[in-house]
Parts: sequence; structure tokens; C-alpha cells
Amino acid sequence: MALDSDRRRIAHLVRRATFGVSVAELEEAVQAGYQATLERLLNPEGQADDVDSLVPRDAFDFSQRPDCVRYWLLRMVYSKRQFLEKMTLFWHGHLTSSLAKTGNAPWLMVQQIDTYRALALGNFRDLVLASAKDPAMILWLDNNQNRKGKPNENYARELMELFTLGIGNYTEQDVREAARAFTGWFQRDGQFVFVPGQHDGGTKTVLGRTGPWDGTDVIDIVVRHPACAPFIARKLWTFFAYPDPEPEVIADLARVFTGSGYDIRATMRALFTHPAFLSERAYHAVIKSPVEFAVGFLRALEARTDGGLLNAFLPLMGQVPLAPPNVAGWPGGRSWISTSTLIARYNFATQALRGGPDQPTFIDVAALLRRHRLATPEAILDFFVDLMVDGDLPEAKRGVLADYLVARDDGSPGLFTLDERTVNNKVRGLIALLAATPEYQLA
Amino acid sequence: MLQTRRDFIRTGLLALSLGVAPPTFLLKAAHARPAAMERLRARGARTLVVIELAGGNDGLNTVIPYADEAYYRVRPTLGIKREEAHVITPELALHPALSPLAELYQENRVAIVQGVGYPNPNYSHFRAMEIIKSGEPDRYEPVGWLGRYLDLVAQPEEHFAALRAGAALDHSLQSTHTQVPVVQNAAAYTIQTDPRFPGDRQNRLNAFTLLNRGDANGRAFVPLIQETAQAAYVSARELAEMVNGYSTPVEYPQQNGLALGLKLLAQVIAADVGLRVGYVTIGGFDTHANQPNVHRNLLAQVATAVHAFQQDLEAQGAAERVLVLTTSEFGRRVAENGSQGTDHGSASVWFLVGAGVKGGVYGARPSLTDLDNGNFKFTTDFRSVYATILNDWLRGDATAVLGRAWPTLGFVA
Repeated sequence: MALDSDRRRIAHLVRRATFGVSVAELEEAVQAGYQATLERLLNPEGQADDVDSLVPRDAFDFSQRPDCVRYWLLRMVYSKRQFLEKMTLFWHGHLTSSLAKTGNAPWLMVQQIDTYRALALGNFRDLVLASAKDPAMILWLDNNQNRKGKPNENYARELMELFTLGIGNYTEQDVREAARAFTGWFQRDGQFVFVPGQHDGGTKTVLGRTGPWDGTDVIDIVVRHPACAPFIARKLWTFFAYPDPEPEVIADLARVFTGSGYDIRATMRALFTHPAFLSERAYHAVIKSPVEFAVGFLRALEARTDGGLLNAFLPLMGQVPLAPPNVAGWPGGRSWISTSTLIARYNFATQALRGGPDQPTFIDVAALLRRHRLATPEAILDFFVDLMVDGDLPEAKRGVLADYLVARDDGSPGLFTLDERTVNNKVRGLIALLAATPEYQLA
Repeated sequence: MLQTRRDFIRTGLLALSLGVAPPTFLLKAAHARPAAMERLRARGARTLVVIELAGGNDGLNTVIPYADEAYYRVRPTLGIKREEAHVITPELALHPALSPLAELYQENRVAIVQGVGYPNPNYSHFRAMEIIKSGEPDRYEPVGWLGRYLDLVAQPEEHFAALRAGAALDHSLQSTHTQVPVVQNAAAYTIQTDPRFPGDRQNRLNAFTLLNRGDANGRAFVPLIQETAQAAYVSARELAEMVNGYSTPVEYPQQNGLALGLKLLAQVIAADVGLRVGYVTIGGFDTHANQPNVHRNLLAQVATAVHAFQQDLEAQGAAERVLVLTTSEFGRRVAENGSQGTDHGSASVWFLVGAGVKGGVYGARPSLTDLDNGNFKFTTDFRSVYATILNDWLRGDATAVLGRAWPTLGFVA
């Protein structure tokens, strides 16, 4: 089993570029074809989106941290511009900031995500510059205290180490000089302000270039530095395609990134059309983040939710949006998997499936069965195995699920009668078990 | 329909007999559980508990060289006055927030190691963490120093050879073949099934374990996930038993995540199931700005949590078999910056706490005037701390774990 059909390739693209789709949405994408689906994802501006009426901002209290988090999670669940939200999550994990440093102004993180969303598919240099001037970032990396004659190195170091170049591509002296260029870049009341009296206008040498640099100059220097493009290309590839990419693949992507003048959309188009993205190595080769797991679960099963369950379980799964563990963001990959985070994933699925129509999170399993005319255990099993793990389940495990569907309480095989109790116990149990397969943890 | 159903069942059973081990192993393991725990019990195994102060703890304002006038020159506003600190030697005093630790110091239960670092210090949090967690400064090494130790000594039936209190496994505990349970919240650490159908619970758990074993199907991450899932299943049952069997007269501090983590470790230590290593992290030590308040609060959290933990271990009769180590990826720049803070630096101070400690101060104090580009020159290699613990406390083979012999420091009684 591999990416051996258009359907599988499109499902693979959708797993990486969105937070999951319903059966009907996948069908629509398959009808449209790979290229058309990709262009639709890459150009969200052309896509009507009713997320602002489904998730109205005035229904949230942005002076409360949980509401800030829940608001964004619900956008991920309900926005039609799925790739834009996914890309925004990527940038949030890269150009990090956190509720941990916004004090009693958590809305500054909502504001930062709005800024990142607006630039998520634009020009990387503009995005980095906007993040440098973002009030939540200024608080996160102490730039409000970065003053002429009293530089604070926090932002300058992370700009080079984590945001653009990677370790080994700059010196301690570069950090100290670059910090001077960002002096006087402050935030006041949630707005960027430049305070000339606190800015060090003197000559600095950063990465071999000497001049009276300010922050914008330093960002231009680091983005154009030859280490930047491969650094960003590797991070994108690891997030969207697979870990430990071949050097040629990174070189290909870095070339597009540089050649397009750091255009993110062009780079992502190159990524999703690269032969390696559609190779066997890419298939089910990424561990879903908790957000991808949980939001994707609700979306695939067409759940109705107020997001409360996401807020309750994501801390246990190890990922709270707007609150990355540190300035490096979430390390991802194997680090998502621990005994604790796996238990939280299983329990999230079980809880999401427990709710009835009166509950804040509800998955209407009976309606899914009706809509897709599923009546026999074979049809039900095939449907959910396809929906949740792209049919990529060893035969033996399919057998385990088949046995489960007809098992009586004492474990012996019984009759399968599609009544309400069977739907609520066995079919919901089947979905919960599929969410607990190793295969479902993979994107 | 009937025909189809029978075929369907047959396919299921056939598949089971072809590919997947029957569930008897697991059922047997479940029945054997109390005996297995009993077997591990009362071994009195020694435990190392690591408390990581993440972000880079300012060692210079943690253990204060109040007698050195250079200290007040480099720290004109952040410097802590002698009369506010807890004097422990003619040269050194502990930060005012560390009074519970000062108390333990007087009881000869605290060793302080000064100038802990390594050659060519790295000023990136993340590279510096990799270095102190792997014990390997010269190249990236994915296996942690504690993971290597566990790989050498832990047996497969030890489900709690180590325990990480937190959400994700720490690099220090990354191993090649030892499963380490990770527990963030003991109450949530149980596999739930739909309570409306209690009769189906065993069916679901059996299916769950069968779905998490066998053929990886060529997917690179499936073995990791399956092994972790099996460890989750087993450790959740055992932990619930331990938590049920635990009670304590000690009140741990509230609103203190470190205290919660230490309490969880105390529950497992009290059960005496052979815990070798516990690991817990407290973050926030990256004090580039507004350091006085932030650092005081953090140190107070550490000191009160460690103090409660010590009291609890006393109450559990386990104090003799637990050693606490505090680490941090680096210290901070010697001179304060202009933001009432300190930027990234090099060497820091590490603490050892416990009844098995030979109290006192170890390692030379780094000079405040002979600096390397504004940073301390380290005096004590962090691997000497590890070697002392591995050889003298855990009675393991430090050379095998660290790749070479390091001088030991003598802080184990």
C-alpha cells in the first residue's frame, strides 16, 4: 500500500495541508484532481469562508487565555481556508511567542496570530519583519528592555538561531551586534513603537556586513544569508513531508525559496509537487501533532463542537496553541509520543464519542451511517478504516476490529444487529479503537 | 446477510490466527501483576531524582559570593546583600528565597557544586540542553545519559525503572530500549472506555493491545508508537495501584508544578517498585529581564517543593534511598544587563539534596574577574557530577555510561 492512486495522493496532500476533511470533501477533491486541489489550497483568497459567522469573535472573551486558545482551535475546525490555518500554525511554531509572557493581555497572542495569518503565504522577509515588530514577540523576547547602551540579546539571538539561520551560522559577536540594531523597538499598549532616543544608531558588524544597521537591515541581512533558505526549507519539509530529508530535496526547495524572493506560496507549491513528497518514503511518515490529531478527528467525523473538549485535552496531549513549551516551539516528531500523551489521545477520542446531541461536542454516528448507507459490519469497518487510516491497516488488525464489532461482553462472537445500542457501543467503540491505532497517529 | 456475517467473522478470526499473537499473554500479565509488583517491592533500590531548572539558572545569584567585592561590581542592581541572604560559609550565602534549602544545608543534606560547565560552552538553550542531557559536547547524541544508564541496568519487567513527571519524555531519558513512562497527571493516567458500556470494556482493552503490536507495515514510526502504547497500558494499571496505596501527612505547596511532579515521584518511590530515576522540569529561568522577582519566585518554588519532598520521603521511610540533583543548561552572564536581567552565560551551580549526601561545597568557585568574553571559566565538568552519581550513588558503571572515566567529587556519603 502506498501513494499508488490519484485518490491516495490527494488524500495524502489533504492530510498534510489541512486539518482533515470529511468524506464528501475528499470526494470533491478527488473529482477536481491533484493540481486543482493544490491550487485551491494554495489560494485561499478565492475560497469563500463562513468561519467568521460560525466562530464569531464577539462570542469570545479575549481577556481570558482559554478563550484565546479555543477561538483559534475553532477556526481550525471550521474554516474553509484550511491550508491558511495550517500554515499559520506552522509559523506560530516557528516564529514563536507565548501567552506565558503576555500577562493580563492575552489578546496580544490573538493579534499576533491574525498578523501571521495575513502573511502566512506571503513573503518570508515581510513575515519575519512583522514578527519582530509584533507586541507579543517584543514581550516574549524582552525587546522592550533592549535599550541604547544597555542591549538585551534575547531577540537577536533567537532571530539567528531559531528563526532564520540555525546554530553554527553566526557568532556570539553577531548576536551582540544585532541586538544593538533592535534597540528602541518597543511595544506600548499592544502597538509597535520606535523610540529613537533608545535606539543605538552606531555602526554594527553583523555577519560580515558593517553599517549603521537597524532591525530592518538586520532582518534583510539574515534572510538573504545563504544559511537561511536551507534552514527554512528543512523545517518546512520536516513539518509537511517527512523527517531527515535528503540534501538534494532541501537544495531543490531552498532554490525555489531564494529564486522566488522568499515567496512562501511558491515554495509550498514546490514542496507539494516535489516527487519526493509523493514518494513511498512520504506516506504515513509524519506523526500528527496533538492539534492535527484532535482537530482532524473532529473534522473527519463532522463533529459539532464548542472547542471545550479540545481545550481540556490538548494540555495532556502536549500541545497548547499560543503556549509553546519554549522559544524553539514544539520539537515534533517522536517527541509527540509518550505514554502520557498517547493515553490523552485515546481518552480524547472516547470522550468526543460519548457525547449525545445535547452535549457541547457531538459526533452524529447514526447520521454518518445513514448518509453513507452503511448497514453491514463489513461496510462499516471498510468505511471507517478508509476514512481514518486511508485503508492502511494490516489485515490482522482489520481482523481484530472485525472481531470486536461482533464480540459479546464475554468476548464470544455474536450477531451484529444495527440498532441504537450497537451504534452507540460498537460503532462508536470501533471509531475509538481506530483512533488508538498506531496508524491513526500518522499523517 | 447471515452468510456475510459468518464470512466476516471467519475473516476476522483467520486474520487473528495468521498475524497477531493471541491476547493470552496480556491476560496472563494482567493476572500476574500484583505478584510482579510484589517481586519488585522492598528491594530498597536507590533512586536519583533530577530537577531540571530550564532556561539557564543564574548560579551567581543562587549561591552568592558575598565576600567577593567584585560580585557587587558586576551586579550593581541585581546583587543580593549579605544581610538578606542565608550565609552558609565565610564566602557564600544562599539566595533569600532558598531558606528551606538553607535549613537542609545545616542538616548536612545539601551539597553545592560550583562552576559546573564544560569546555567551549554553548550559549544556545537548545544545544546546551542537548549537551548536558546527552553528556556529549562534541556531537549530537540522541540517547541521553540516563537513558544509557537505564539501557545497561533495567530489566524488561521493570515497568517503572524510570519515570518522567511531565508531558513529554526528556532527552536525558531517551534510550535505545528502555521504556520510560511519562506521567503528567496521575488522575488522568488511565485508559478510559465508554462508561455506558462497562461490559464492553474488556473487549476494547483487548482489541487495543492487539492493535498496538505486530506488523509495522513499513511505517517508520509504528514500532515506537506500539511500544509506547503497550507501556502506557501496563504502567497505567500499576500506577493506579501505587497511587491508591499512598498517603502522606505532608502538605506540598500549592500552585507549584514542581511540587506536583515531586509528589508523583514520591508516590512511586513509596511503593518501592525499583524506581531508579525520576525526572521533573521547572522552566522560566531565562531571566533576561525583571530578574529579581522572577528569580525569587522560581527559587522559592524549587526550595519549598524540595523541602516538602524531603519531608514526605522521611514520612514514607524512603529518605535514605533518594538523591536529588538539580541541573540547568547554563548559568548567566556575569555582568547584569540593562534590563534588570542577565543574558546567557556559561557555568552554573548544581545542588545535591538528600540523606545520602555528604553536605558541603564542591568544586572551585570560578573567578569573577578572570573571565572568558564576560563569562565564567568553568571549574567542574558536569560529567564529574554524573560520574559521582552513577558510581557512588547508583552503584553503576560511570565509564560505560559516559564513555570514559571522570574524576568523582565525593558528595555521596
